Amino acid sequence: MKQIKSFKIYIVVLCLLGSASCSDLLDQEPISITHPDVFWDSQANAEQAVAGAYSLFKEAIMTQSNFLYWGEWTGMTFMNSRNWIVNYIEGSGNYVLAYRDASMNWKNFYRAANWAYTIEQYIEDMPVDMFDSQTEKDRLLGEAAFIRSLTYFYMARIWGDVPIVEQSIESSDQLISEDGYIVENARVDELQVLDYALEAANKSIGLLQYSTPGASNWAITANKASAEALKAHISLWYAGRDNDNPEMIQQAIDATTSVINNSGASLIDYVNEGKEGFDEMCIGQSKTGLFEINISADMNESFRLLQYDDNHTGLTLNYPVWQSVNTGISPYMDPDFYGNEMMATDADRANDVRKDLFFYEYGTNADYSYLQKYSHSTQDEASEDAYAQFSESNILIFRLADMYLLRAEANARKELSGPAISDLNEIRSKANVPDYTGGTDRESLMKAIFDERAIEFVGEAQSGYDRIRMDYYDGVPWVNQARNAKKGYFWPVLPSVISRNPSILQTEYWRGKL
Amino acid sequence: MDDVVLIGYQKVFKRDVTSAVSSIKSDDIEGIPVLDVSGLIATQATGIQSVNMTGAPAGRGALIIRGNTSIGGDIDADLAYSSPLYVIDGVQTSLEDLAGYGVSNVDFLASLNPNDIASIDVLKDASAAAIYGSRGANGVIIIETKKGVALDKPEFSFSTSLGLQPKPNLVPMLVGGAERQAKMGMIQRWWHTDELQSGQTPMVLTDSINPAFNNNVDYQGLFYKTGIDQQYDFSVRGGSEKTNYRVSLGYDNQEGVIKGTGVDRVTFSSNLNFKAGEKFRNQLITRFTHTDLQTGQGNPYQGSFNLNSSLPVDPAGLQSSLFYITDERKQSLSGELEGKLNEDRTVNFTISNFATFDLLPSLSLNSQLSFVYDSNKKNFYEPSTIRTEGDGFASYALYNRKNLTAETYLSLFKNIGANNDHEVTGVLGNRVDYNKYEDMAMTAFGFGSDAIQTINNRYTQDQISGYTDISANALVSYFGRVSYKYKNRYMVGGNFSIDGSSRFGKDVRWAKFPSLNAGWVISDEPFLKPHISSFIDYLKIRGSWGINGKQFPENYLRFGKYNLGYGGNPYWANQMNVSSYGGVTGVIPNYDQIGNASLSWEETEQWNVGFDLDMFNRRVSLAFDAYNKSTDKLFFDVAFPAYSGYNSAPTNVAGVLNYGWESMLRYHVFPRENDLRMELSVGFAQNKNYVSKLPNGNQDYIGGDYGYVVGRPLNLYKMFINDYIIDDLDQLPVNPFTGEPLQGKSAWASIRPGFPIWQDLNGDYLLNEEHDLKLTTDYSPIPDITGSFNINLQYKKWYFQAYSQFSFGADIKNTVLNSYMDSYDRGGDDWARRGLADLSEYTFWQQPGDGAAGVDFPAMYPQSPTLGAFYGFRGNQTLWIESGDYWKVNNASIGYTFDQNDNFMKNIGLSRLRIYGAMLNPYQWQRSKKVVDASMVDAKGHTYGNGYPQARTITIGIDTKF
Repeated sequence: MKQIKSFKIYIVVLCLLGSASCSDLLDQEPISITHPDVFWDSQANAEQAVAGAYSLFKEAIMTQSNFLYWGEWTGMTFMNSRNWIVNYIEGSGNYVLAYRDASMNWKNFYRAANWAYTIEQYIEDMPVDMFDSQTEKDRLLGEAAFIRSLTYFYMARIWGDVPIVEQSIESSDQLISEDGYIVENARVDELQVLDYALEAANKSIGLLQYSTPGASNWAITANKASAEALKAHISLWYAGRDNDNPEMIQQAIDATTSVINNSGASLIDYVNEGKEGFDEMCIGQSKTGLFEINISADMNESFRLLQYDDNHTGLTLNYPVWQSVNTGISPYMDPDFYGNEMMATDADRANDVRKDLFFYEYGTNADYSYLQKYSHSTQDEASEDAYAQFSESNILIFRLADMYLLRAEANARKELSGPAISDLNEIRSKANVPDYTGGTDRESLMKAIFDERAIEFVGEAQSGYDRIRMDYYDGVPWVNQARNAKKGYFWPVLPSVISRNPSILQTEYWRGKL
Repeated sequence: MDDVVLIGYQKVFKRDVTSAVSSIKSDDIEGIPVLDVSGLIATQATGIQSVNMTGAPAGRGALIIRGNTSIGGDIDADLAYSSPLYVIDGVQTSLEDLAGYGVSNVDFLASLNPNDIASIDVLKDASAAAIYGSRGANGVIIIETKKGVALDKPEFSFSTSLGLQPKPNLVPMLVGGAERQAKMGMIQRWWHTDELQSGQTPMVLTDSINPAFNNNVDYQGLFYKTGIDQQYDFSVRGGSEKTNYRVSLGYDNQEGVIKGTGVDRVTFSSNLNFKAGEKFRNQLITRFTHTDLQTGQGNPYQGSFNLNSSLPVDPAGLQSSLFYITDERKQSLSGELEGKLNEDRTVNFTISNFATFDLLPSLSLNSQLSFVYDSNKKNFYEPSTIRTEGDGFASYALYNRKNLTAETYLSLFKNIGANNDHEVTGVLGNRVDYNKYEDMAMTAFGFGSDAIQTINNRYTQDQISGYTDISANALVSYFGRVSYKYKNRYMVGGNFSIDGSSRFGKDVRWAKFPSLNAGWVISDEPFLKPHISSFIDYLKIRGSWGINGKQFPENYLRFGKYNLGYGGNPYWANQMNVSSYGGVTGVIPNYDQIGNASLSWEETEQWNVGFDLDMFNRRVSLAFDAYNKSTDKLFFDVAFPAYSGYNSAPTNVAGVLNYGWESMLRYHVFPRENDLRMELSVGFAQNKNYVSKLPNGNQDYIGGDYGYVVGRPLNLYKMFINDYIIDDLDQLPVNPFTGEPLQGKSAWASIRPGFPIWQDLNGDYLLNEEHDLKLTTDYSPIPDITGSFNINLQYKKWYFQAYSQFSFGADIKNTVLNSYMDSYDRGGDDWARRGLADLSEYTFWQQPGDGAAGVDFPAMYPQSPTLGAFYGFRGNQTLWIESGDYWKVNNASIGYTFDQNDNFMKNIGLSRLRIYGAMLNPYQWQRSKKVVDASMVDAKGHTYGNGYPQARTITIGIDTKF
């Protein structure tokens, strides 16, 4: 009988084992993955999320060297590419590129923007004591808002009207309705998109602090001046898209002025600083940088210079960066291309030092001259091949010269030729170009500013956007009134993007062309 | 009818069963010398589709009960089957449990020695499976192993068999000069003179004195051989009523018919029962299996694999016999290279304790505690001699699964009333199941020495990479069952279970699975019995309804996952691993796994009606069931819009409907008392399979090479529809607006006589992929009719048995012939560099008129240098669709049993001796003469016939007891 009793105890224990602690068992917390419910618990993690957002933006613009397609090749200045894909644009203005579907797909931008939005939501809810200080919390919030603003600004410049995602997408029920349909999201008017981007830029300005050149993350992450530079760009674009909206022009003047006065940045004097100043500017984090995408072998954030047409080094460089002359991908300085003609004929440009600083053998060998902005590199130590080089050139997004020329443009739009010319001359003087002596009417000034921007920012993927903003298409043979009326300056939307989200309508000009 | 059937936590008499259950006894299968019983189950039970994927020893197969429901946006055609739950001695294992771990190619049931099996019960309808609630949606296969018994003296059994697998019939390949001659013949037949003289004839054909090109490598001879199988089983059982035991030990060694392949298996199982007092019974079960799989060249260094496609034996993929290959390469191809390490070992260990305590005479408390440990290890080294990079490659991978289960339940059995008219039985309990998975793998590449085959410090840190992974899941279930029987004629019952899974979010974690069933033994009704008893012994009608569930294999799918170490560099960075921005490690969402707190159970609702009938003194028995099984909330990958940034994720949106009927007829041709006894049994099942719901408002889903349409079966082909083979260009329809005849798209060669012409589905007089390559709703890879036909013949002590199964109505794709021919008319000189099979038994278009005469295939010509390719042998055309009908005899065996009445038996000390000869896979009929083996197809209907054949095995064996 005693035996039976002990069995009973055994059984009772078993019963308890069987029924207790069941619900706890069902909460299996994964240790092999991290997920939203557990991730947001420290400044370090928030910091990593923000780094992820920068990386997403970096991927969006660098994929297949898209930033050059959107902003450089469409501008048709200086560089005439020999690459057959780029020739789709240069030859006939066809943006439906072979093997470059990514250039029509905004998915990567939404990844950056949505992730930034999500970061803002989570950081906002994290208590301050998880951070070193309120300032640090604000900084991270401000950087996320900056990335979100910058991303929407890029999309507005590339596609015009795009959908706005004002929610943190983290769960599939936000994307699939209860009856199994995809939740659609239509394009909204470009001005609304710009408003949305401006709002985020203002938020960012309110949260960030100014920095100083030499600070560890100077220019490669956003500071207050970066956000103001972004605001200036958005405002002026807005004005360009909205009949010189005076409020926006004023905002652009205020923002650029604030950057010039407060950023701590200064212009590179190409005359006195010469190659050293140019190299510092391109390698990045220089005294003139406001925001740039970091490429650095030291930080393990680089790539090998590569003679292929899927990256911006392959698309811009030539011998002697390469072992031999490239005649299939590298561009040449076509004398008939906009800008080269000016350099050759305008007396003011005779001693423009940027010709020799920016280009390799610009005057001597137009066929094999190339832009040196992406040529900076260091040896890959793992290889003995002298041509195994890691890129060191940052991708420059905003820098101080841009602010002067934007302010000049804003003033020109207001017919204030005095301040406009003064800013223009400030930039010209750094390149050994004499003061501007041309007409003071708006049209002449706009052309002068476009020309100055064309040479100053060549290769930095500005001229394509400048043409749209300034409505200036001299030297672009395939642009015409009919095309512009149907917004043919914007990029087409990839058909698969439309088929998954049928609310999206194709940009008018591109209907039936894909 | 007095047979006992296991229905989950209970044993019941077959006559009391009110749901659809098929039972297999050990007697039915013990004489068949197989390593793994899964291939035999479909010959013994109806409504089961048995999928063969390989002829490799212990190779994986699949069983599908009442129609496949596996659906998905990007299915793995080797795994896309809705597999049942296996319950072995009360230990439940679903293949989802093993999915994270089961990377070996070994079939699940290969871990079980067939000699240890006492019975197999297949629960097919919702009511039967309902007690397994959340895991029963695909049906349940319950296996009991042999147990200890009370005997006067211990009984020893020993059996052994020796089998021979002759070299299979191979696809005849043209070797050496024959190949050169055949190919040159093709060129001379199809190419113009100037093309012949243009110097574009591939060098491998023209340069017949170059030692690189004048070889005659017989690849098939390299790979195939005669295989030997050996099997030894030893067991002992005995004991008293109070304590008894059974211990068994088995060893199997099977060589495959492909060199370097085979399996070595050791199984051990022990079973110990004791009673303490009158009220307590305990049973301890231990099983251990060690499987050593030799995979030849086929085993990749880590991860799961399909033995067929990873073996280099696909005759269509072989290179031309004319090329020179090194001896090392030959040895490596046949898996015999010394210096190459390739091991794939699996250990399964199960210990389970089952205790019963009688609280009251009619009420007992049961507990089962189980621990299962599975481990799979792969050691791999590929020496520098055969690697094009000239480096050595070492790898080590380990996959572990640990399972703990605790079940506690009360069971009730009570008779009430005057004549015990009322019988109530019930089960009420709870079950906790916990799985933990631990994986690790390491690889290293480098210029090490081949003398060492493991990873050590001769590799630099950069050359070594690896990962570890740990995950877990838990399932909690509360279940109950009540049945009531009145006067042994009227039966009603119900099941209810509430299950919770850690894989789902808190709000949707728990689900309820109810079922009801009822039965009526009409033949026992007093008002009927006198009238029918002369010919009807027993007639029962029954019906059931219920809901079952199923979960997905991924443990953490509901979580939105973050990826660590993202730096956003889209360019080639050599060895630089860009994982940060501005020096800070980047974290971003995983765009393939969005959070989904509402991910939940897949559900199957099923009803079943049927009857069991015994007639003519039990010489004829018939079981019939009709069912309707609707599976809902199935996982399906939904592609997300670009504005979300996400790619796609599975959600509970799709539905599949299966309905049909199944019957099993058994007929004893002679009275059971005769010396000559013959039992014929025929199983027949018809199943209709439809997709019933798809995401985005039932929009057709069109994937890479398959797709779904609501109202059509699963996995439709995406193909051009062949119209005719053109004899004369005048046959082409002319566009009335342009006057131009039908043409192919501009990238293709212009149409010539002898080409296949496909249907211009959108009527634009232009054949292209965009508009004419569609899902074909006329063909389906799912069979409609499956069944079995078995003979059991006994004459005195002789016996003969033959089991067979058949499948009708599937449309399968002849991927084998397709890949032979596809290198022709495709551009390039692949056709010259690949091997050539002897295709003389097929007819090809040769001259005008052949198309009308109905030749098998379009003109087979090597695409000429001046004309482009028309891709006339492309895989995605209905030209390759064949009938999948087959009837396959799985085994035939003959034997003689001596027992104690034979005098000499006493002299040699045996109580029983059976001597037998058996042949596995002796015969297969198939409607299509063009496919290699119509019974070997994947879930998309593509034939597997290009890898490991199901070879015939001739076995002799003895079986003794003493």
